[in-house]
Amino acid sequence: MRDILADLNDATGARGSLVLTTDGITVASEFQVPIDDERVSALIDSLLRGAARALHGVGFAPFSTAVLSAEYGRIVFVALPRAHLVVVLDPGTAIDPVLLSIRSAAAEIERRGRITV
Amino acid sequence: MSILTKWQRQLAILRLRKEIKREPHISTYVSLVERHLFQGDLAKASQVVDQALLRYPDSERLAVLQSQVRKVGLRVEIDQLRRQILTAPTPETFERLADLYLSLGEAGRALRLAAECARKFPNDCTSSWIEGRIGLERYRKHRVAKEGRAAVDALERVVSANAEHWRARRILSELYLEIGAGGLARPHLEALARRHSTDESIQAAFEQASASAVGDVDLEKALTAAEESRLKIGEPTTSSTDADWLRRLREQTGRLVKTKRGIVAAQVVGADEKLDPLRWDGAAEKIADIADSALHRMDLGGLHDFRLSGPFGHLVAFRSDSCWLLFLCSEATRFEAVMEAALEAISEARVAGGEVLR
Repeated sequence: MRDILADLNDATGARGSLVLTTDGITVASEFQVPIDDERVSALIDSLLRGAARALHGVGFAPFSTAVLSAEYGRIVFVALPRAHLVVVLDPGTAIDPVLLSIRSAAAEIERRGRITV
Repeated sequence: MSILTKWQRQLAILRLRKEIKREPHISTYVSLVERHLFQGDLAKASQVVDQALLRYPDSERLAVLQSQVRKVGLRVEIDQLRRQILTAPTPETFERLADLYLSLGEAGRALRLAAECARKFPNDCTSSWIEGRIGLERYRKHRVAKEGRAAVDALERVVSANAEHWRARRILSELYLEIGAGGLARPHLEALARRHSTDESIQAAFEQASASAVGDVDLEKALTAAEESRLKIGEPTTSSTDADWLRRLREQTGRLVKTKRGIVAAQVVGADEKLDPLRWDGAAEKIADIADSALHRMDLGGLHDFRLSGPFGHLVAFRSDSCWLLFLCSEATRFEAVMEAALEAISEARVAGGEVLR
């Protein structure tokens, strides 16, 4: 799994990426600088759940892709059947051009099938 | 450093630690982190700022400090790599150092490094790879044809030198597809598709590129057209769906609704669902709050905008001053263009003295 993330980081120039289960447990992560995986996964899990609840509140289905842009970076989430792929990019990164690589990595993770923790 | 000075500094650190135990405060944590950084003890600085964030997870000051500590960490690695380049240089060391410079936004240094790498390893493609990535970053930022050309030239050099440089092939094909030069992307996608035969995204991109004829593509023209279309974003046209609904958005700024919480919502032409501003008010605010808090805690600063895509289409939200502008639309393929036009629309509404914004 980490090899997919490393390739993805190279292809997109991402600072890092990680895969977490829908329960918020880190499956794999690959970052340029060491991060506290569990803390970041917990934050992302609460963010995704909160956003999904808000969408449900207005009668919409859960999202499949999300892009959040902040002062110092951008985050892309892609929903997989039982997991989420999360990619952290630099603030100036144009999203649309790198989505192909991100979706491609998501498809590869899905293809490999079993996500074990 | 004299023993006395060293002792005084250690004493200052001990005092700060005691103060934190007795009466913890964000500013005390900040002082302690700065002391450790001053002493060059990056590990302890990092440890203290992490502890502080556990206690004060919403502190923006601590979040910024954590980001600074990490940057210092990168600087330490940069120094190590620079020393390595002086004593035992390898193309890999050059590439890693260029990556670090790029992650700090120092493209100029990365470029100089690429030139040095080319001098030391004239037969290696690493320098072209670094140049290509810098060129691509610049091109995507400014959309200037000349920069696009430089990126393409460098990346094509990489692929010529090493046909199995898959990363170069991938970003090159993405760039070609982005400027509508599918024919030029085709050979690279074909090679990628052979290597990743089960990758549906690559297969789909390959099929898309296959629909383009190889001989018909003029790179210069494609880059120039991309540059011109960038300049024309927001101008009325009748062909592009993006430009079309952006034009209508401009015409309909009067339909923007200011809600109780300062969130502005707009129904965009082409949307599949009705966007009820009052209903969305709470939902959007909730998403923005959760995201803002999480991003701060991840050292990424405050939330600027977000896009959620799903079976409903695309929900796009932009922050402008204290307001949010929401779009629900079925077409949002050119996210950057949408963002620029949206902010422009807000600005126009404000200039026109509309009652849209505070």
